[in-house]
Amino acid sequence: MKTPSPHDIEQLSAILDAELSRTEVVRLGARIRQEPDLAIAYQRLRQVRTLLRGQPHRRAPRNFTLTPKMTGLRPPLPRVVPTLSWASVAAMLLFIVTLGTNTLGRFSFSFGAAAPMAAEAPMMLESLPADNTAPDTYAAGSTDLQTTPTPETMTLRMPEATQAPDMVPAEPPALKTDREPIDPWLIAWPGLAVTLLVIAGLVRWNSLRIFRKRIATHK
Amino acid sequence: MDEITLIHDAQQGDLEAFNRLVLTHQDALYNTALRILNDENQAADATQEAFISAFRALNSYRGGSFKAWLMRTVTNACYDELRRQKRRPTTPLEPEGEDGEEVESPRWLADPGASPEQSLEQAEIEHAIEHCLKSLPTDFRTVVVLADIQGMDYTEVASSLRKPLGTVKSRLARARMRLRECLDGFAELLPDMFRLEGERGA
Repeated sequence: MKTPSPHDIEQLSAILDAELSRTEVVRLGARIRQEPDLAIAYQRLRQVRTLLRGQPHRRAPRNFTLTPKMTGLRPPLPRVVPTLSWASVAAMLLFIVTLGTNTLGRFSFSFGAAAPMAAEAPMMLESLPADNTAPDTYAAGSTDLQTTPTPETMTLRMPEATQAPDMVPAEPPALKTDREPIDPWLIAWPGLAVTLLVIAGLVRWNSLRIFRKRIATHK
Repeated sequence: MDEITLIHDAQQGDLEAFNRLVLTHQDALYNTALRILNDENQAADATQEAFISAFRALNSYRGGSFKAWLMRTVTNACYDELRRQKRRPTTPLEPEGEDGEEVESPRWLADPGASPEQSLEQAEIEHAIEHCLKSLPTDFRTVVVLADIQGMDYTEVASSLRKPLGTVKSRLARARMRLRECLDGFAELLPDMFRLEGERGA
C-alpha cells in the first residue's frame, strides 16, 4: 500500500471539513475514485473525525461565574478612557500655553507699570523745597532744643542737607493712583475654565457619538 | 439579550452581563480544558482562570467569534498549567493497577441513560481516545480538540490559536493521522462502523 503524501493527507483532511474550493473538491474526488490508497486514507481520516465528533460533551462540574472579589473589583476600563487621556493631554498643553502666555503678559505688564513711575520722578524732584530745608522730623527735633540754631548745630543736625544739597530723598512717597492694577490671573482663570469646559463638552459629545455608532453597528 | 449586547455591557464593567456569557460558554471551555489537560480538577481551575482573564482583558476583544476569543484564553490557561506541570511534576493520588496504569474513577464516565454494556463500551472508547489524545504533542492536541471535539471551523481555530490557517490545516491532518494510528491499537474497542472492510471480523 502506497502512503499518500503529506499534502494529500492535508487535502483529504480539509475535504472532510469542507475547507476546499469547488475545483479542489472535484479534482480530489476524481483522484479518490481512481486511487485506492487515497480512498483508504480518506476513510481512515473520516472515521477518526466521526469518532471524535461523536464524543459526548460533559457538563461543567460547577458554575464558573465571577464574583466582584474574583475580579479584584476592577472592572474593565471603559472605551472612553483613551479619549479622555488624550483630552487630558490636550487640556494640560492648553494649560501650559495659557500659563506661559499669562506669565509673559504679567512680565510685560510690570515693565509697562514701571514707566509712568519713572516719568513722574522729575515732577517729584521739582515739588521738593528749593532751599533744601530739613524735613519735618528734623524741624520737630529742633524745637526740643528751644535754642536758636547755630551754624555748628545746623551742621550736626542736618549733615545731609548741607553736604548734599541736590540729593533726592531716599524713599519717595508711594504713588497713589485711582486705578488698582489688574491681576492677570483674574483674567486667565475664567478663560481657562471656559476652555476646559469646552474640551469636556467635546469629549462627552464624541464619546456619545462613538457609543451610538457602536450600538447601531451591533444592531 | 443577544451576545453582542452582553459583551458590550460587560465591556462597560457589567459583571452580571459577563456572567451570563460565562453560563453560555462554560461547558465548551471546560470540555476543551478537560481534553487538553486530561484532569477534571485542573480543567476546572483552567476554566475559572480563563474566565477571570477574559473579564480583565475584555476590552481587547475587537469583534469576531467570541467563542474563539474565549477558547484562546482557555488554551492559554491550559498551556500555562502544562508548563507548570513540567516545572513541578506531581504524583497523582489515584491508586495504580497491576499494569501500573492509574485506576480511572468511573464516576464521571457514568451515563444513566445507557445500559451497563453500552456504558462500559463507551467508557472504553473514551479511555482509548483520551489515551491517544494524550500521546499527541500539545499543539496538535489543541487543534484537534478545537476542530473535532468543539466543532470549530478552521478560521475560528486559527483565531483561537493565533496561527495561520495553513498551520491549522496541516496540524489537524497530521493529528488525525496520528490519532488513527494510535486508535488502531484499540481496534477491538471500536464499533464496526469505525473499521475498514479488511479489518471487520478480523
